[in-house]
Amino acid sequence: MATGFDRGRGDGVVEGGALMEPGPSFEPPSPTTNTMFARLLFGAGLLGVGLVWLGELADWWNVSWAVVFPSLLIALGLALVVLSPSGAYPALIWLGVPLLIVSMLATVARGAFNTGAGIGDRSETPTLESLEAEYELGMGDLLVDLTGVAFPEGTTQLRVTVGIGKLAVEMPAGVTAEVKAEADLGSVKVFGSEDSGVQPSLKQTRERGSRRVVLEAEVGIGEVVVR
Amino acid sequence: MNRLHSGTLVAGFFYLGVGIALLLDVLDVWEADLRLVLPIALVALGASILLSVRQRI
Repeated sequence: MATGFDRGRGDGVVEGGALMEPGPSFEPPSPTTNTMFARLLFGAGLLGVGLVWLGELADWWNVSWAVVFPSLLIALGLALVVLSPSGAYPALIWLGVPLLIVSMLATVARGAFNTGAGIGDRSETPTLESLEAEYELGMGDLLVDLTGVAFPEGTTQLRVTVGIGKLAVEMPAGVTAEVKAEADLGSVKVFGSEDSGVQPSLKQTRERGSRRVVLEAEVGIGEVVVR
Repeated sequence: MNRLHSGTLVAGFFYLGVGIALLLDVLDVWEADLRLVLPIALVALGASILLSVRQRI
């Protein structure tokens, strides 16, 4: 029985169980063949995502979805470029639209797609002893109150990130604060200055003596407030 | 190559380019400006239509 592949290669391809060379009357693959390619790629994509998800749940590996989705988009793009001489693949082109949207969201809110970053509202009030170099939250509101930290002489580097939500950082009054605040989508407010929209960013330095805190505050989608 | 084929090719290059840009952004290799995605999509769509018209002439 001839399949879509067979039809694409002309009649009488399978003869006595052997695959024959296509004849001179080669025709582009039929829509059936294209649909089969689209199904193959769609199936392979679902299989890959399922395996990655399964591995995450079973703790076999820790893969960031912010890497997985753009990788699938690249694979789809490559497939379309390679397959384009052989016909039209509207199903694959349309499949790319939701994949593109999810990839962009995953990139913008990459912290939220990191399953280990946590979900919910959290408040941190560290001391110098319990201070960590990095605080991270996937989705929700994160408050980091640094007013109780007796920062030492010299420079202390801190990084605070939230995937989707609000990030608030309270800086102590007696230190020089060098702040770089960014969001992919939303607003950033640093010591009274404000920027908002797509990829707002602020760099502010508040001079207050020799003890220096360099803070990187980043949100995917949401708001950053440093005061 | 007919109109639909050129559409497939342009869509492929578009997805490929955006995917690479997003992946590089996630890996902190390069900072992608996401505001460019929509105008680039329009350019790709326009190019695809022009290519299809050119092939028919």
